[in-house]
Formats: sequence, C-alpha cells, structure tokens
Amino acid sequence: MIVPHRSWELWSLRQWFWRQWSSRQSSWRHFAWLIYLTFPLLTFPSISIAKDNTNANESDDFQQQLLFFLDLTNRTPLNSVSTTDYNDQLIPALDISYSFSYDRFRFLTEYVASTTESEFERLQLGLALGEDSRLWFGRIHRPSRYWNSEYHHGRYLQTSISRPWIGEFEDESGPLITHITGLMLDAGFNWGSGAGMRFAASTGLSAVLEDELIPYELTDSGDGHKLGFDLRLGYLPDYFGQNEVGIVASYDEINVDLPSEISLVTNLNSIDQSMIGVYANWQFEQLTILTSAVHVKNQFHQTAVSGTTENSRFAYLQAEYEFAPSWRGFGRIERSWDAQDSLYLSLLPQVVANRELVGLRYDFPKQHALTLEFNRQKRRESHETQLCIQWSFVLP
Amino acid sequence: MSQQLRKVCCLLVLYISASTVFAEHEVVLVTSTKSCLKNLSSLDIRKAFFGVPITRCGQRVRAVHSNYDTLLKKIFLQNVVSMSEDTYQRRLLHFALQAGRRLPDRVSNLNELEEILGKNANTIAVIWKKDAQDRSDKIRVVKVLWKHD
Repeated sequence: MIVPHRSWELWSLRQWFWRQWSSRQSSWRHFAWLIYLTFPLLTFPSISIAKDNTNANESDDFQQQLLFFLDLTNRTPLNSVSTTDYNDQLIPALDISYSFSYDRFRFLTEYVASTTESEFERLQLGLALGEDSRLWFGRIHRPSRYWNSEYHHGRYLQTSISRPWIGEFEDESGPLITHITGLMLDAGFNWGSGAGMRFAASTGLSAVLEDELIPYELTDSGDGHKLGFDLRLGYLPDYFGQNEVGIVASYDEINVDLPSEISLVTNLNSIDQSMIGVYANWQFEQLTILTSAVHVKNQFHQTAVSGTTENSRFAYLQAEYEFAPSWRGFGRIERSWDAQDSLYLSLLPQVVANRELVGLRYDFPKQHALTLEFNRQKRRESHETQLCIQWSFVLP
Repeated sequence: MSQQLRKVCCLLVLYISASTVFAEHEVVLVTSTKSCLKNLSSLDIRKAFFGVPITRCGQRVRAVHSNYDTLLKKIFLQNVVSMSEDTYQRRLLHFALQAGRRLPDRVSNLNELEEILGKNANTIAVIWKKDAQDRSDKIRVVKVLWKHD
C-alpha cells in the first residue's frame, strides 16, 4: 500500500483515502478495510448483535438496524472460454446495511466489499410522508429494476447465485443503469382488504458510458452525468407478501466518453435510452415464478448524424420449486432479441445474449444457505459453461 | 340445601378448571399495563409485526417476537402474519434492506418479555393467555387472536 507522500495535507489525505476506498482494483485490501471499519460497529453497544437483536434501550423515536449479508462464491468454468477475470477464485463478499430512523427522518446505507470491489452502493436520507411512504435523497437503487429493488446486494435473499443479465449492476457489465443519485418517492397504499399497491419514482444523475456504464459516485463524481427518470407501479394481492405484478419504465440521457480508438469509429456523443417493461413474482404453493420482460430503445446522437435508433428486447423467467423443507430447485432462462447487432451493447465489455441455468439451494439454521448452480450462457460469439457454488448467510 | 350447595361448588370448580384449560389454548396480543393501547385491528397488528412504523396513543407501536414456545410460534405465523417462517423472515429482511425497517425484537423467555414491555409502553407481543394471566400485574391482554375450538 502506497502511503501519501505529503500526509500532513488534509485535503490530499482525504483524496488518497477515497481513492483507496473506491478503487476498483482486485485486491484483498478492500476486505481488510471493511473489517477495520466494521469492528468498531460490532463492538458499539447500542447496535450490538450479540443480544439476539434486542434493543430495548432505544427510545421510542430512535430506532436503528444493522445487517450483514455475507457470501463465499466460487465459479468454475467448464469449457476453455473464460471471459471474466474472477473465474475459479473463491470470492468473499460482505454487504453491510445500516439504517436508522428518528421521528420522520430516515437514513439508509448499503456498503459492499469483496476482493473485487469496495464501495457505497446506496447512501440515502429520507423523510417519512406517511406510515409506509418516504421521500429519499441520495444514491439509490433505481425502482424500475425489479430484481435490484427486491434483493439489492443481499445475495442470501435471492435463490439463484447469478442475477439475470438485465438486472446486473453496472460494474458487472449490466446493460441498464441500476444506480441514480437524486430523489426517489416510494409510496405504499394499503387498501385495508389486505391488498395494496406500491408506487416508486425517481430522478437524478444517472451514468456515463465509458468502458462500462459509470454511475454517479458520491466519492468520485466525475463529469458528464445527465438526468434519468424512472418509475414502477406494482399490485400486491397481499400487501406484505412477495406476490407482485407491475410495470416499470425509465428514461436516461447517457453521455458517452469512450476510449479514443472506439470513439473515432463510432463518433458517439450521447444516447437517449428509454425502457418499458413488466414483471411478476408469484408463489403458487411450492412453486415460485419470477419473470420480467423489457423493451429498450436507444437513440444515438453522433457528431455528424443524429437520431439513429435501435431496439432490443430482453426477458427472463425463473422457476423455483420447494420439493422438501429447506430444499429448493430452480431454473432460469434468459433471452434477448436484436441484441447481437446492437451498437449500444457492442460498447459494453460483456454481453449475455442468452442464458440457461439450473440449481439447487439448501437453507439451514440460522439464515444460512448453500447453493449450487450450473449455467450456460451465450456471450457475443462464444458459449460459456460454469459451475458455481455459494455459501451465503445473514447476521443477525 | 347441602346438596344444592355441593352442586354449586362442583359447577364452580368445573367452571374454574375449564376456563384454566381453555385459557391455555388461547393466544392473545398483550402489552404493558402502563400502555394506553385499547384495540388494534388485524391490519395494524400485521403492520407492527412487519416493522411498519405505526403510532397509537402518541407513541410508536413496537412488536416483539415471543420465541419461547414452538406451538405458539406456529399459531403466530398462521394467524397473525399468514406466512411460512421462511417467507416471513425473507420479507422482514427485504423490508429492512428496502426501506430500513427495523426487524422486530425477539425474546426467548417470559421474564425477558416482561422486562421489554415494562420499558416500552406501546410494545406488543403474542403469547398464551395463561402466561398473560400469570403476570396480570404487569401484562395486559389487548385482544384474543386465536382460540382452540
């Protein structure tokens, strides 16, 4: 680790700290950082997790919550084609979620650290507008990405190890922007009969397309982030249950700042990206179906020409079946249409055009899960087959 | 006269023992005797156990899980939250991640529950009626949630 040369300069020290903090280089250093930071939190008495989650001393207005989602994942390529840097490595990851509420004020943060990344994924301040409605400000997960809104970075919560490609985060080569820095209204309407609706809308600074989509970072904002909008409307037959159907939509102005050799060829300045889609998450006794389909339209603005458009469609369907207590089998199929010839997708480092997977998950006390997944994916011009194994759990 | 008196005594003994037996098979929502909570709708009780911040009598209602009895837990899952344990735990974690909602506290014995109820007046819990009757000086029944038919 390089120590800052002029460490007495506080500003430089701060910059050095954040560079270390938000660096994307693969290193165990990220994990070490997090252990240093979480140790004082764990020993802080009022949020100790040692007392079976009993915080009886909190005042009526002040409440806080600390959650740790941990996982160890190994991905073994079964054919010679390997397009990711982290294949056949055991990757530990820790997702810390901390929230507190005081009167009408809310604070929520989610920090992720692994050997491959370390950053604040969400950092949001909120104001309660009703029993179950809030106005958030900060870096948030876009509500129009259903998978992300449902599971965020808590891998224990999702049954499969991999996420659908349209739900992947920007730094995992996801094709849609998943983070936005701005405002979000999240409102729930309970009809008294048990059913309800959820409405969420957000606007703020979205991402710049460089060698991948780069969302607005709180610690290293960069330039050129333009506005994005999105919304989601969902119907829930049981307001507190997981069954939900809904529609999603988003619009982004994406500034393009490509490496010079690509930029010369494409002459791209910006892309207007609009997306509309549907989703459903439904449980029928032991069977759960989780599905989404989206239509993405990209309008390119080039130096000389303006207004070229292209359309792509993506869909996935995941089925989960609990065939015995704690045992769940699952499978997912992902398909894309008009993705192979897409100029937009050709600018992303990786494309998963189609994917099929099957897997098995075993849950054991307390809140631990072992998951085995076999997946086969069609990338740009090659097929990749992987065997993945993951141990995930949540504390407390 | 003495026969009538004997009959009345027998009936009284039967009534007392029967009510004790049935009380064992009733599940109730309780709070502290210091709380002003009068009644809560089924929806409000669900909201509290899913961490939705509801306010009654000017104070936030907080739910506590009674983890001291397996049958009680099953009745709670079936009749209060209407979900399997696994689904309920996942929903709680989802709401904590999504909206920063606090997970309900858990107690593993009645003394712990009594202590928590004493500290926070608007705290609610689901326990056997018999256990509430044994601690009637500190715990008050708000509502009967389940009765054995």
